[in-house]
Amino acid sequence: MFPSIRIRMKNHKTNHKDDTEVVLPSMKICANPKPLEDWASPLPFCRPCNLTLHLKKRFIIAILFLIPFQLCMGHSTSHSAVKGGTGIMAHYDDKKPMNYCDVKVFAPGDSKTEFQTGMTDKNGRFLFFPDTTGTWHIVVDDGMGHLMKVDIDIGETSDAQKQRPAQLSRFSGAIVGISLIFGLFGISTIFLPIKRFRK
Amino acid sequence: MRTIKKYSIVLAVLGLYTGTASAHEHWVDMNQFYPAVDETNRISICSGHSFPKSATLLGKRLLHDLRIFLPDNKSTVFKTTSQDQRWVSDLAIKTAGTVIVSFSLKKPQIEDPFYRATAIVICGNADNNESSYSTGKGLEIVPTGKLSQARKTGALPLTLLLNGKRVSARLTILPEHGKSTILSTTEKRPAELKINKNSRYLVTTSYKGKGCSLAFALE
Repeated sequence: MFPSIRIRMKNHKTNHKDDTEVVLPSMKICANPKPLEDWASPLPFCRPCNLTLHLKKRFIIAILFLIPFQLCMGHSTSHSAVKGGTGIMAHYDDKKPMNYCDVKVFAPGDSKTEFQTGMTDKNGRFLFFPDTTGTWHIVVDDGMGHLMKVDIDIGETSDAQKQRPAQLSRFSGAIVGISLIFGLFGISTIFLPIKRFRK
Repeated sequence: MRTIKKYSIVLAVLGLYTGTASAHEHWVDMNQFYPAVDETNRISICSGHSFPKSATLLGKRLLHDLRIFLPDNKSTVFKTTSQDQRWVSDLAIKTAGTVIVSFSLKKPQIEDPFYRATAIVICGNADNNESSYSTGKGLEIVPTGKLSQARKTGALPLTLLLNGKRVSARLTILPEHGKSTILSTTEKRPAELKINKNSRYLVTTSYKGKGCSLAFALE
């Protein structure tokens, strides 16, 4: 025999009371059920009897089952699209992108703990979102001895961002080198005649 | 004025050569390129600007397919540990013959390796067959003459193979002691390296954006 709960429904228009029996297949039968008419409340578990005890147990178990689900809901995720950001495009001297290279970002005043770590994309690009003003340090390492260090000044507005390249390009380096050579020879052409004149 | 011009040109040319010499290379180095059978030998995976001194510890995530091709046409992988600025591994070869030690550099996100380095090791003085200098896989610099006879003939022909087929390229020769030279190899004609003295050699090249190196020694 299946246990059941009877619930009294009241029609407010006709003032007619009607009992509805709900069958509970997995519940034990109450040993000493009280007649429904004796109950003050239409809810069956308000009275102390075996049936209400069983119901209380089941109710507590159900709540205990629900608590972990509630906790899981605490780790739920959501997202919103983010545009912009500050970043760099890393490439070698021959303009080939430094793709899939390790990147470390250091916030102003903290050169030990990375604010962010990541990797450049296929085209050598890396973006991050600074949360404070100041000079941010970015280190790109290709794992083969090529290390690029870039400092980016973050101002109050995005317009104030200035990027300082850490090194000269090969072409600029060559121009500087040749200029130095010619400069040194130019200086020597000034001093050599003076020496000769003195002799 | 003429002497100043001369000097400035010489300095500019020297500056250009310094630029080319500072190219970053990766190679396999051995404690013994001619070990005895069953002798413990150390493999070093090196990187840097000045062969044979390794100046950079390659990123572990880049190391790929560290493999030894044994004389019996079998191959085995080897594991390394970092030491100073190189990755090292000790091994003892059990059979006499030519052994190729190789590794590739590959970014995990890209399917093909972008660099391959090999070294030729002659175990037990058994330099029997120059065809065993090639693995037939990927890009590799391969001598087409026996290493053991190069000192006698005074020259060593070198070719560049892509999956076993000859391709044209310029090879940079970096001896342990001495000046670096650049040689050309084509599909028909190998580059001829003039041998003046016994030394360790590093030969490097690049082909269609991929690089490779070969290390060997002449005794």
